[in-house]
Amino acid sequence: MNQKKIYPSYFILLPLVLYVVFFMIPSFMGLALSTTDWNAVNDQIHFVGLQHFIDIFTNKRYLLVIVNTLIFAIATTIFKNVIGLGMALALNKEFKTRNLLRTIFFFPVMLSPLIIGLVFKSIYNPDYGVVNEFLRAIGLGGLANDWLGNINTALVAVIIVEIWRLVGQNMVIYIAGLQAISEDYLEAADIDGASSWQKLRYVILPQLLPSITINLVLNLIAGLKVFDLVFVLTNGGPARKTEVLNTVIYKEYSSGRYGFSTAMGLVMFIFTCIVAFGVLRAMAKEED
Amino acid sequence: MKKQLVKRLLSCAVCTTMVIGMLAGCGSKTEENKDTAAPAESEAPAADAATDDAKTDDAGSKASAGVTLNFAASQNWIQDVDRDLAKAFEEETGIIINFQLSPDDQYQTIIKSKLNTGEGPDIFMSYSGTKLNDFNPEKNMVDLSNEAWVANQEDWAIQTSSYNGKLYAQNIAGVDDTNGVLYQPAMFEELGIKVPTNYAEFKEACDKLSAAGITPVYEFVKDLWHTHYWMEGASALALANDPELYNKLNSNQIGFADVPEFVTALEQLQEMEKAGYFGENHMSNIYDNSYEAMTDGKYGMIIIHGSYPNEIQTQFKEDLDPDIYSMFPSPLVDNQYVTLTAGGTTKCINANSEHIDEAKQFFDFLARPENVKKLYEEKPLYMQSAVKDITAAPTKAFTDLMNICGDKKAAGAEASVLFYDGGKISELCQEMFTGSLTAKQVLEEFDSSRRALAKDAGVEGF
Repeated sequence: MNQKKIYPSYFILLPLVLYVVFFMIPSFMGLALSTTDWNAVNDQIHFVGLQHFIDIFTNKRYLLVIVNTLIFAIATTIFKNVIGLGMALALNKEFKTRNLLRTIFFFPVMLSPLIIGLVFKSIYNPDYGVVNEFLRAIGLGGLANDWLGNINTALVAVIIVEIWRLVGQNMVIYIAGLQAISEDYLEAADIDGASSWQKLRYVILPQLLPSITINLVLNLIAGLKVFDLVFVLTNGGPARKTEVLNTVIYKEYSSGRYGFSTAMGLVMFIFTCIVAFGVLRAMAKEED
Repeated sequence: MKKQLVKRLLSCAVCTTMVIGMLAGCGSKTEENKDTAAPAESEAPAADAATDDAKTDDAGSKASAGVTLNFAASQNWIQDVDRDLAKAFEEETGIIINFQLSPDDQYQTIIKSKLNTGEGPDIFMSYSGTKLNDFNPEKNMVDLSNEAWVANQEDWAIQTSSYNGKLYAQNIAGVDDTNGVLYQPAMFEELGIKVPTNYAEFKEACDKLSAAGITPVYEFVKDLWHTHYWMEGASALALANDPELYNKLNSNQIGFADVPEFVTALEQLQEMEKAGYFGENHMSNIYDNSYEAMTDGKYGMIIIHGSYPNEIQTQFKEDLDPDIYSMFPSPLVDNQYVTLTAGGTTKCINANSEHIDEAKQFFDFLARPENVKKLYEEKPLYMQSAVKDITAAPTKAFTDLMNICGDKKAAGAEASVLFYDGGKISELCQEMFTGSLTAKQVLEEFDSSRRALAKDAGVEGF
């Protein structure tokens, strides 16, 4: 390798300084503050050790929030990937409206989650929402439901909106991955008499592993960090059935319990790291 | 070699430009603020003297012209007349009022977050009484004790907007009254329903309404500010049974779960929900749809403030006669007391605002007799005037409620108990309705979160 082609090591300096100032220092400060009772109403800060973490992991109300967040992250990741891949496979073929359909399916990604939340609030409305109106129109009025108010359907309803919102992004990444697969492999498979399923299983999917990895990691992180959509659609309700880590952090922070909310933030950060690195490691093994 | 040097220099220049750009980007707001704040600060004495001297008022106004005051409120607290007054103020002084409204169920959390992060608006609204404490008055609110308009305030309005002897809020608009169960006497008469005086009679009324195809009660569980009223409605009764109740709660001698009236109220609330008195969609019902619900005959009752009939008229149906409604006290725990709010909603100035003088000018403007009069005429929501020489026009429903209760009235827990959080109780009630908590557990859970906040705040006894 030509050593002269490598950037000089001082090029790392500026990013490193920015990274330390804007990421490392706040993170370590957060770690320190999560062990205090720092709050909005008392100027004195006391060290409380790991008390906040003990509270989080021994109170089943907070554990339920962690479970909700994991369900949300895993369910959205699976469906966004499966549907996104299906759409990418369909839209990777030559046909007239291909580009138009790609644009339409990608469109929700460009909309603000807040706007999407408000639109779906109307769509799910039990009295005049499109979903219930449609069910009534086709004679299935009995299935009409208070989608966001019913404890059994609220989380599913929010998950569906998140899938709808970001499936286009997954689709685009998969299309890029599919276009990078050489036609030669597929032709060779055709000559060998491989069925469509066999081509997908043994040619396309292995070649798509980098796209699958990036989609899995991005979706899991987005799922664990979800806030705006839940905030607008249900604000964590009904009966905390859609409460996720970020809405709790927000509420605790709003009530002035900075130390506790920082501790929850740290829990979320650790969760996200474990999941993201876990997936990356597992997928790296697959790719090898 | 030369080429490499040029490349190095170029990359250094690009990096330096980026850093300068970033720093300039971070700093631009401060500079901008300095530009607008500087004249205001330099004219501050003139603005202070504005109430006494019309000439200096002009000088102060001119200096402040172009300043924008951000005014945060819950969406239903601001109406057309508030916007008209803000516009008139803008025309007179050049100071722009920018209303930042949040959904009713999110306002408290949003405004607290903004204040806690130092990004609070210049003016924000708050409930009065102990609810002012939620916003940490000494840290976040400007002391208004020495303002000229204070002299025209009724004593109760000053008391309920004060904290540790200092006035922190302007309650120009008057008390938001109390909560009672609103109904249409004509509907009750038609169905042969007697106005309930206890819980058993209330259930009987609900059953008769249900039998007639009317959903007995409009309850909107999703908007967290409301459901706890059913419990809070029993607080005057609980106080009558134990005059030291609020002191005991505020010193942590007891918790809400130890007060039998509150436990019973929630048990009965759960029973109402189970009996289907709230209809099918109560978990996603919202306040905004209550106007329609209470006028189209689909719902029979709602627990709400006494000014509500006027509100329906101004917000939803102009040709509605507010006198078709009446009210009776919250019937849970066989209550016959009326629970008073401390003074309704008030306006505060953010202590960290850069435009405190302009905000004070706005408060002076609102307190002028002609503007107060306009407010009371066009926003007939106030049952009792907070300003001397101004008479409020209470609704028939409110008057009926007061007549039923006579002298059986007292301030409610929301206005009197430290760290009372109605939103939290309502949220826990959702869990009670789904069967994951019992009435007692709701209050125990609430006590635990309230104690954590009080402990953080260093309140004695917690």
